[in-house]
Amino acid sequence: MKSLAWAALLAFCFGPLCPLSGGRAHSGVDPALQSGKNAEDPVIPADAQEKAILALKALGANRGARAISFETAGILGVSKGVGFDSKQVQKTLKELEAKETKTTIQIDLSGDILFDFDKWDIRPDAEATLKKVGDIIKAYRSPGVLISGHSDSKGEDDYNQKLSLKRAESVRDWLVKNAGVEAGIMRTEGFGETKPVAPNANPDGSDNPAGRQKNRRVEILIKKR
Amino acid sequence: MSPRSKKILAFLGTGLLFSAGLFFGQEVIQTQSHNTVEGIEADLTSLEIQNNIVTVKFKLRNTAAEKQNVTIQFKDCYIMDEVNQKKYYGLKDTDGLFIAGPAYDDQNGGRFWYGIQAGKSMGLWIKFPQPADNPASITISLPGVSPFESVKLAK
Repeated sequence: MKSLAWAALLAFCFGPLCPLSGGRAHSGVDPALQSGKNAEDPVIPADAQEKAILALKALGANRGARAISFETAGILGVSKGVGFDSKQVQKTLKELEAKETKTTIQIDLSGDILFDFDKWDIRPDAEATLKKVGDIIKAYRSPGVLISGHSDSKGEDDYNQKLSLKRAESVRDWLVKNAGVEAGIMRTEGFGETKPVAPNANPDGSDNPAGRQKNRRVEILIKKR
Repeated sequence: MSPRSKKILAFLGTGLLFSAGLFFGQEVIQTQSHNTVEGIEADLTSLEIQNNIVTVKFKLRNTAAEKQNVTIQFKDCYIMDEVNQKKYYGLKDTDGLFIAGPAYDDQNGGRFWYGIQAGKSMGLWIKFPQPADNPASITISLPGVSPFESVKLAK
């Protein structure tokens, strides 16, 4: 009886039930075999804290701190204030002259910056701006984005509608391909000249180039989560 | 049964109860799901600060019907100070190995790479620097697992 009890004690202390199976357990064993061991709460090796103290000293005063990149914020999803409250995001919103409400963010991009005359290919100069838009969409983990193209009043209505739709689609495709925005959350529309934000002509009937320039635009409406 | 045998059995019983407590009565601070390995749930079971070092422990549970292989490269684990926008990777020893475990091997400073049988679980621990600005809470990021957000740091 006595020897049996001691055997049981030894088995408990050193057998598979024992939690002393933490640490660097590499032994060339197939990892799948390890799963049979009960290692739910592996004990941290006794020298781990000592090693950690040395490592911390070596890091110096900033303890190895690194700035959180925009990308990190985007990947993390930033659901609780990491991204959209960050200075970087707020700065970008300002740079894009975004209009923010409780539920949405609207970014208006000039058609003259995004596209060459009568074209719908994204100009290389516009890519940095679109990258920022992509960062904002990801930082807010937006569940829905509406991209709408608008034109001025020059030309046929039907042509303007088609051109504005193609431009909206170009922006969407660029965001998917280059900014990693999920295609499924974006919707595109082409409104042509039907929703001007400035008069295309002056009160005397003369042309208003500044007004028309404002109307040539792509609006990006980002829904907040 | 002799009184001595009774004492030994009582000792063993206490030990078993303690062991069971460790395995089944663990407190869970927060649970997140693995994003790519089906059925793997990660419980944050402990967070301790000592000598400006944060030690975190997790339990990876396989809730799927089949065994699942889980790989976690320690080099991709970090904690984040949300307020000050800083992140901190795990601490490394003088051999360049992360002070974390259990490590299947030393690849990239060490990695957790184990098959977890259906219904089973495995523990995981990592040591990080305590964020220099002493935030009230941190986010803990394990690769492939949704982030553990707003985890309070005990002062």
